[in-house]
Amino acid sequence: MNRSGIFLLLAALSATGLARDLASSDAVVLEKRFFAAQQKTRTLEAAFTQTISAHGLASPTISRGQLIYRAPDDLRISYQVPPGELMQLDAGTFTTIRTGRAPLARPAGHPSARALGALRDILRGNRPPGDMQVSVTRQASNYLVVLVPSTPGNFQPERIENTIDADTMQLRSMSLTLPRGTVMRFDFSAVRRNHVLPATTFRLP
Amino acid sequence: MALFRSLPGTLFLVAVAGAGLWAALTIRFETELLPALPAELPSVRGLAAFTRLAAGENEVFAVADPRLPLEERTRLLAATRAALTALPSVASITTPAEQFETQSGTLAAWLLLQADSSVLDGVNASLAPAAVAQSLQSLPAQLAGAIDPFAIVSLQLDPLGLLPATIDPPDQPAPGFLVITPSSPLPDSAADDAFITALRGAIPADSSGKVLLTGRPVFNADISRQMRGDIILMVVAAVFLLAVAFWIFYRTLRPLGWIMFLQLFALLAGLVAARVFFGSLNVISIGFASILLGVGMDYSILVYHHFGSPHRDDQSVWRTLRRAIWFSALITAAAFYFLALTSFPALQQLGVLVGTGLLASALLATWQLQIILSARPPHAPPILFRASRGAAGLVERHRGLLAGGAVFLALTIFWLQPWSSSSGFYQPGLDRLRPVGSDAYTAQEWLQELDPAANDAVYVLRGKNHDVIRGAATSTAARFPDADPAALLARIPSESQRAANLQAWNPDTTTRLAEAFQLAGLGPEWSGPTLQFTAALDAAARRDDRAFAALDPLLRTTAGKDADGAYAVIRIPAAATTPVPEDGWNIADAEILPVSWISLTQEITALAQHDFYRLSIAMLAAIVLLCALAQRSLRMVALNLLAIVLSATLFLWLLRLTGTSLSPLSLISLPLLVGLVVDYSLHVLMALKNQRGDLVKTYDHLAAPILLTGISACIGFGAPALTGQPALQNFGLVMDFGIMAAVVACLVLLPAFFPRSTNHDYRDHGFYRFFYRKRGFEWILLGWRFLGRRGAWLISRTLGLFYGLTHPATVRAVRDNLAMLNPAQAGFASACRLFMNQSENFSTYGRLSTRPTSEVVDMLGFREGFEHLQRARDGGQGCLLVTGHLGFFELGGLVMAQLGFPMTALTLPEPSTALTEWRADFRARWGVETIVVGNHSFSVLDIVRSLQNGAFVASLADRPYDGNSVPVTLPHGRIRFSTGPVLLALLAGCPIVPVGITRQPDGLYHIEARAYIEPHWQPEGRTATLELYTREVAAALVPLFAAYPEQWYHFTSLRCE
Repeated sequence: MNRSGIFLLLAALSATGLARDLASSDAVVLEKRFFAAQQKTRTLEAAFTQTISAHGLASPTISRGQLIYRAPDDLRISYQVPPGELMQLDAGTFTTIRTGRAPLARPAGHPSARALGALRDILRGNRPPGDMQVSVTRQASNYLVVLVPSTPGNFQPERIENTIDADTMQLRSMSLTLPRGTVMRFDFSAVRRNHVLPATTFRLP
Repeated sequence: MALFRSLPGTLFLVAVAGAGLWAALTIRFETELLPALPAELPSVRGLAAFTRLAAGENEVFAVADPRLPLEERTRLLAATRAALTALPSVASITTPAEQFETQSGTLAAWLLLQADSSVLDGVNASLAPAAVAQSLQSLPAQLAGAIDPFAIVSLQLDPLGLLPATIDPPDQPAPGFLVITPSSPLPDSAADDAFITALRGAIPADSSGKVLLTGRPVFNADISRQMRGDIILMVVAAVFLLAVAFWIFYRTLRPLGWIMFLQLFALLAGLVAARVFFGSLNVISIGFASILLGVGMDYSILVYHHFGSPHRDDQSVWRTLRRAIWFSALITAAAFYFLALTSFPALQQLGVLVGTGLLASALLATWQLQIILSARPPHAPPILFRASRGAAGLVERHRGLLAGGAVFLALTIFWLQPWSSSSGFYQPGLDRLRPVGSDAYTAQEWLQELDPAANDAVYVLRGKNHDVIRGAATSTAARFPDADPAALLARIPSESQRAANLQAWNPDTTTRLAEAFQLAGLGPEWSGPTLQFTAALDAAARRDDRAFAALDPLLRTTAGKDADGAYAVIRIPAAATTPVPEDGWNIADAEILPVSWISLTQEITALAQHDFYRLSIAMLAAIVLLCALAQRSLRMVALNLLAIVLSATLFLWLLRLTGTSLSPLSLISLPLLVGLVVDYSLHVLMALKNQRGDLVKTYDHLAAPILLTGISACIGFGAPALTGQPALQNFGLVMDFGIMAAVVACLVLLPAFFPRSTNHDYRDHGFYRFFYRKRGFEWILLGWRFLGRRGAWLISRTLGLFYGLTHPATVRAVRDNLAMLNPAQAGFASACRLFMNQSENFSTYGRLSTRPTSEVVDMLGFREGFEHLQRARDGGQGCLLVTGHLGFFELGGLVMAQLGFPMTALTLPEPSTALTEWRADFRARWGVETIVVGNHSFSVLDIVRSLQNGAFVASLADRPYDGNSVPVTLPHGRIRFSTGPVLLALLAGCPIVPVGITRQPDGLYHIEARAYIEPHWQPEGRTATLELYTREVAAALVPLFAAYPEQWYHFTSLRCE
């Protein structure tokens, strides 16, 4: 079970269950449909807005950036706001570059990499490890998938909410509720699939 | 009732009953395995200390099966936790992760206090007002950009970056066990039992079997309950099986009731000894009851069999039996008491228990039981005696085969090589001693699987304070290349460092920080752990003794203080398989106690081997002494030792064939078997001696009882196999094999080595009967053909010496004969040389067979007195050549024939017709005829006719066979000479020439014709005539005997009065 919470697209996985209180059998069908679509993804690029809200903070902290994926192993999240920061995960290494700090490379299995790892699993079309209680509801043109980990812990999200476009199966947003009331939300836009990526896309600065 | 008519007996029984009842009610059960092991071993102390200090004496662990998926484990533990929390006897239930998470700040503070001052300097710098303000102001910026959820949560826990890296929180949820603390202490096994029963009753049904309890209270409750049950089970099973065995043999149960009644008092006597000397029974000594029943019944069975046999009124038999029972009880009890010399408390207890019980058994059997059976003698079934006689006959008929087989068996010990560490007889692993099927042990194994540091070597370090221990920890880590001293020291307190760091800490830090967080608008979600951290340090700086009290459950597992001083638990990664360096620790001021079953196994093995050798030597010495006292004969002591060797070899073969190996406990118990073997051998040998070697009578007395006592002992030792204690099971199986080996060795093999009867006739001995056959002579010829002269010489003299060493009765007879010639030449060495000379004589047959017949003359050296022979031949008469069993008289006839004398040899029938014919044919090659002298008159006519035809007839005179003899005088005694030769000479009218042929030092033979005697009938009559000339012949031959005593071959005593 990932300590940072099963993340993102564990959600996306269940992002298939549409309809209010979608019956579990229908949810399974949708899940298969979703994963089938993901497995056809060789590349993916999307813009995102990252919003972190915590008790005691006067206002949420907002960041913006770009998500790039190349099957099967490469995943990069690079930030324009703040500029120059990125997180990149490949087959063996998780690299973080933050402003004013030396680049930090850790093994791909490090706890800090679990979130990105789970995201990558979903993009590959695989269900990430972990046991979740899943509920799916249909909201207008979207599915809202809510995941609650069966195994709570101090370093895992307590709740994950994902909004999936009912037609395109694309992830619109994801919200992680962390311990002590902190919420981390991602909103995605300008999604492109299976386009050609430059060879230097995943080269680290 | 006859038993209670004896006042002393009644008083004795009442006293034992009273004391036994007191002991049974007040004795404790020592349920843990470690107290059964030597307390001075470092690993025993380490394991005990770890269990007591680090694991918690009253804590119970609920462990989920690690083979289940993590989610399933978590669900089951959550349900179990909810159920158990509701119990009033449960104070709290936590998990290690929760313990850590709720006290992370306090733990960080504690770690900081023990760290180097430079670490605190860095923290103080971070807590400067300006630094605090800046950190809090920068929080939003830190949350922007490339931050993952793990980093966000970490930031909330420690926004100021104060916590040391060594307390990284666990990255997994609860690993799969709960820590359950009782509401009140658990002072004894009854409290343990009540608490554990309540817990087990509350565990949800679907968690049953998947969530198990472990910890000291669980072991205590389970094992003490099991011990009580095991004792009852063993005793009931043993009693039942003993009753069945007794009934099979004796077809009655009423006397068994009396026997069991008296055995109960023996059990109580053993229990009293345990209560007085030890105060408790441990997991090993609970087996004493069934063992004592099985072994102690031996004496009662022997007594019963005596009174049930036709010999019950024979007082000499009863006295012999009683004496044998007492000596064997003393020896067996001594064997058990010797266990008190071991280093193992478990065996010390067992030894005293059983030894005392055995003595009581022997006393009750020969005293009380004798009274009962005398009053109403039983009748053993006749079939027992018929079967015994049949068995005796079978053993007698195959005595030689059994003796040879026993020798071969004994020699196989050099092939088995039990002394070699690679033989596989001994397996030192202590895992075999741990109970199987115990939920508590299963849960403990699950706990170890869940422990991420299962491959670590764990140690308990002890010293006068923690600064000393920290030094020892550093030295310890230096012995392992992969160990990180800093990581080891992080969790060991340092009194000196704490004092120095507290000096540098501002006790008002928490107040200031709380204001800073409030000013920054950050609530407890951000400030909680940091303020907990500083509050603990503030309290410690203000000398608050309870500053870190919340960490007690967590810290106790790593370091602390108790009545024995300071301690710390350290772990060396990946060192579990080699926890102790080969050359030791070499650390002076601290003690390093391994918490390791691996090092314990090594220590126990070394100790067990040391104890084994020590006990074996002491046991053998005691047995030799007791046997010597009992039997007063070196030969009998040697036979007892032979029984031990044969039993040991059989025992080893049983182990090898069944794939059984010895554990450390059963290895140390082997000296016990020595006592049990001698128990049987003593009975058998004393009975054989009393019956003058008559095996039929001996078996009448002993075969059935020994067989039954062997079975009862096997039942007694085997009953512990029903318990859940592998240590007892292995011990019992090993002892059973030993007893089986002892019974076979003492009852079947040993009698083959006891002289058949007391008349000591060498012709009844197996050696003579086996070798003095046609095949023996043919082997001689074959040996010469393939081995040549030197090989034949070596073998013949070796066999001769072997005969001398193994036939003491014959040696005595030979020495008596030699003493009649010259007492100064009648020693053991002379007798052995005589045997070797005779053996070489037989070997000469082979020499003769390899040479042309004419060359036999070349074997002659000096010839003397041939004029007497020439005179007889020139006279045209025959001649009677009379000699004794001197030198190689056979050669004389062959030589004489080659020299042209017409020779005929007179011989008695050999033991077999084939041999008679073979020797006659052999002589015939050299032209010597043979006449076999029998009890019919025709042989006499044949001899007289031969003489009258001019034959030279050779005859022996010094071993009369038909009673026609006269006594003749030797230098120091009298023997009888046959009058036969004189009578033949008178009838044939021929002379007598006494001759002798002896081997000289140069290897040639000296032939000497001593006189020319012409017998004539004397007027005094036939008797006087025969006496006169027989003594004249003897007078000529005796000097030859005296000159070559070691070539005068007689193997029974010839002395006559």
